[in-house]
Amino acid sequence: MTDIAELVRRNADFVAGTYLAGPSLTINPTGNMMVIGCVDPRVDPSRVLGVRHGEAAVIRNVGGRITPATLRTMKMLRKVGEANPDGKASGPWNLVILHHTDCGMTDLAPFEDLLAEYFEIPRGELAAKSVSDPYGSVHVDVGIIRQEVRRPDFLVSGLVYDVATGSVEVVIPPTA
Amino acid sequence: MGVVETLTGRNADFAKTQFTEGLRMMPALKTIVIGCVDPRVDPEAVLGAEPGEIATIRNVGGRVTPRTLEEMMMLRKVTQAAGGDLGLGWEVIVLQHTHCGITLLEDQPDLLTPYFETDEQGLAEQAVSDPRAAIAHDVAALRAETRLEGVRVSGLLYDVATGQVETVVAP
Repeated sequence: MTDIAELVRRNADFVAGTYLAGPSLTINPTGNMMVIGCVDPRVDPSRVLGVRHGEAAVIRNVGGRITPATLRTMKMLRKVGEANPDGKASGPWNLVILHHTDCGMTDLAPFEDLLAEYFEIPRGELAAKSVSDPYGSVHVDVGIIRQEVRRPDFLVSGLVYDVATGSVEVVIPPTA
Repeated sequence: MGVVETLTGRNADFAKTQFTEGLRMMPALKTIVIGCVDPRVDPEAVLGAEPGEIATIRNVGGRVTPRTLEEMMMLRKVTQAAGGDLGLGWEVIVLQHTHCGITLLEDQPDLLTPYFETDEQGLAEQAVSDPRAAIAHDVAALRAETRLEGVRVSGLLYDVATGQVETVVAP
């Protein structure tokens, strides 16, 4: 069982270190980037990609997937960004989709009702979501973003993290 | 250098010097944190979590929406597939923060009502402009969830002006 007090104590270390030593931050990511990654405890996007404090907005859901709910979330975040012009970094916006090997989503393959609800599609179309293959699923999700967002200043990329080696592979390089 | 080149370069350092072998899909602390997308409030960073210790959902506001509960059910199935169960012995921590961007959406019910899957009247209960009330609401929603029986739930508030976390609802 976790001792919440222990995590709160570790927060004091964070305040004394990263927080006070770091730059003052706004709601806008200093690196002009958003990462979409998985809930998995082995694949903290900040740690495995070396994202610094304040550099990236991070969505984490089951599988790091682009679902209709993820798209609604992105729309909300865009509104928040528009309401906060201060501290916005220059240059293109970068969306990084980070999937990984040995994802728990694979264990959900038999639960078609859960997956169909998650992706908001009929059960018969689940095969197209490639839930058991991260190299396939980053293609699927980058493809959805390219259909939804067509702007020259919006770059999307697809990465796969290997939980056995700690290495990330760029499956789809950043493209507008 | 592009963002992805920068990140893959940092990952190469991570893989070489910081990667921990043998971590498991099940969080070592049997803890799931629900936190916000905000770049200032990385749950692992602000709570000092080590690799593999906690599973983390990050959505707008760190809120418990019907979608969040749906994800919890998916995580429960994954836990069961690993031979355990998301129940007694597990912790869920709701981590919200001050100056959250969701407050800027208060006048956009067209975005918020589908997010919470509610109507305009129901939005008031979600307390989007008051993190303490929102935490209390979301902890109560998790505690009322019969499919998560036995899970201990707590609520923390992170202050972006000080870096400090405050326990708003104790486990």
